[in-house]
Amino acid sequence: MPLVSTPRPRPPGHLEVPDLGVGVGLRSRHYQEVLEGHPHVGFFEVIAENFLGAGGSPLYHLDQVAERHPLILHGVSLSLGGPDEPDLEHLRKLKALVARVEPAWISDHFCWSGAGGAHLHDLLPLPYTDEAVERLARRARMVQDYLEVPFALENTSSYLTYTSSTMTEWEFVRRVVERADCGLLFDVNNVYVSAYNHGFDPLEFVRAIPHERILQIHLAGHTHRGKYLIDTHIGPVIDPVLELYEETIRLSGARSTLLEWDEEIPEFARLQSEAARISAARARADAPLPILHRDRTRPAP
Amino acid sequence: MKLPPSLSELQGWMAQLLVNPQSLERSPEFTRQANEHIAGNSRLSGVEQLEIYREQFWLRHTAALLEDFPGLSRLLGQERWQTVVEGYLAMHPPTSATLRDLGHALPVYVRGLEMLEDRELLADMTDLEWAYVESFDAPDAAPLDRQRLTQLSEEDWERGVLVLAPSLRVLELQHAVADLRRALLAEENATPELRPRASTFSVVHRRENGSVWDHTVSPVAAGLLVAFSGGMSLVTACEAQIAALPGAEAELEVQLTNWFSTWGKLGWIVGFETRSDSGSTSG
Repeated sequence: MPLVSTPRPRPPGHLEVPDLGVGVGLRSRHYQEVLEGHPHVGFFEVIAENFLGAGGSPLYHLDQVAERHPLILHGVSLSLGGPDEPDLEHLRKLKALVARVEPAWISDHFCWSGAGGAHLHDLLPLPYTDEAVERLARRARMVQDYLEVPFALENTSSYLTYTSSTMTEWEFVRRVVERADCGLLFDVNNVYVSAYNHGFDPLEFVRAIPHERILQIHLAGHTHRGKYLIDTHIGPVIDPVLELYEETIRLSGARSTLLEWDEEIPEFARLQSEAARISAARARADAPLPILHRDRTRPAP
Repeated sequence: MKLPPSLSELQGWMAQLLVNPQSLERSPEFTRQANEHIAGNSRLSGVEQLEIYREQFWLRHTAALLEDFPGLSRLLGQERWQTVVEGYLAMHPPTSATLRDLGHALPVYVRGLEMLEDRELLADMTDLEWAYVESFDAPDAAPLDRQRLTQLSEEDWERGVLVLAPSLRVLELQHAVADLRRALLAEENATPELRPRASTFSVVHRRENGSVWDHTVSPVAAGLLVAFSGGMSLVTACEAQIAALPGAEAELEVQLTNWFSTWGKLGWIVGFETRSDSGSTSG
C-alpha cells in the first residue's frame, strides 16, 4: 500500500532545534555506567540548578558527559510567573552554564515558585488570566534573549485551580508561547495528571497547543493518591499517557522526548528498556500513513 | 463590589499559607480564604487542594535538610528533629533558588537553641555537616606545583602568602563528631558519644576525585591554616602561633616541613602570592 507523510508544522526559524531521539535524566548513581559504557539513549537532561555551584564533582561529571553525549538543561526555579522579577545573579550563573554545556535549548516552567524574596521550591500553578499571560510572556522573552539559546516553557501538573482563571490551560499555554515567541516543552504526563485532577479531556489539550513550537516532550509515571493524581516521576509511563504521546507526535512530528524517572530510580538498563519502548511508540506515531484512495494523477505502479 | 486581588496579591497570600507548619484546615479563616480563591472540585475542596502544596513544602524542605544533615537528625531523633526543622524554616525561610543553600544558617540556629541540653554536641555536628556541604561544590583549584615551593627565596617566605584550596574548611570542635557521624550512619543503633573532650581541630576538604574528607590536625597546624586563609605570610603566621600557644615553637621546628609536604600532597595549597610594597601580588 502506498504511504504518505503527513505535513508537519514547521517551527519559527529561531526555534529550529535538532531531534535528539529519546533521552533520560542524568542521575549521579548512573555516572559511571554512562561514562564507561555505551548508553543507548539519544540525549541526557540535567536539572540546571544542581550544577550552579562553582566546582567539584557535579561539574566534573557534567563536563565528562557533555563531551560524549548531547546534553539539555532544564530549570526548575526561574519562577517566571512570580511576583518578584527574575534573579539576575541566578540568570548570570545559568548563562555561564549554558556556555559551558552548549545545550541545543534550555527550559523552565509555566509557574511561580516564591514571593517576597522567599523561594518555595515548587512549581506552583498560575491563574489563567490576561495579567499572568503578560507577565510570563514578557519574562520568557527576556530570558530567551539574555541566554541566547532557544528557550521553552513546560506545562506543569497541578492540584488546584483558581476561581480567578478566565481561560483554559491550553489557551493560556498558546497565548504565552506565541506572545513570548518561545518554545514549548510539552509534558504529556502532566496533561494526564491535571486532566484527572481538574476533570477536562486531555485530548483537547493535546490537540489545541501550538505543535510547531514543541521543542521537547516529557514523559513520566505518576502516583494515584485516591482523590487526586500526583506527578511523582515514579515507575514506567502508563499506556494511556503513551497514547496521548502518540497523538502528540502525529500532530507535531518526531520531537526529542525525555523519560523522567526520579523516584525509586532503577538500574540504567531498566531506564534504557523504557526509553526503547517510548522510541517504538514514537516511530509508530511518526510513520507515514497509508493512502486509502488511489491517487488518480499518477499511473498505477 | 469587592475587586479580585491582583496576581501578586494572590501569590503573596498563598505563599504565606504554604509555609504554615499546621494544616490549613484547622483554621476556619484560612479555610474560608482558600475556598474563596481556590476553585476545588467534586472530590476536593479549595482548602484541601491548597493543603496538597503546603504538605509538599514541608516534605521537600525537611528531606533536603535531612540529606545535608544526616548526623544531626540521628542525634536529635525524629521528634526533636521535626521541632528544630520547623523552628529553623520559620526563622530562615528558603530564599535561594537552590536547595543546596537551605542549611546555611542552621549552624548558628542550633548553637542558639538553649532548650537543647546537648546543644554543644549538636552544634559541632551541624558545623561539620555544613562544612561538608560547602566543600562539596566549592570552586576547583589545581594543587600548587611543589617544586615552586622549593624555589622560593627567604625574602619570598617573609612576604609571601600561601593560597589554600577554596574547598578547605578549618573547624574547632569540642567533640569527635566526624567519627561519631561515621558510626551513626554506619550503624542503626550506634550510641552517641556525649561527653565533650579537649578542643580538637578538623580540616574538611575535597579531593581531586570530588569526594569530601576530614582530617584532625593539631592546634598549631590549624592556627597556621587559619592565618594563611586570612592572608598572613608564613613568617608572621608562625610568629603568631608561637605567641599564642605554648610549645608551638618546638612543634613548628619539628613538623613544619612534614606539614607542607602532606598539605601539598593533599592539594590543600594551591598558590603562593608574593606581595610587593605597592600591594600587588603575583602567583
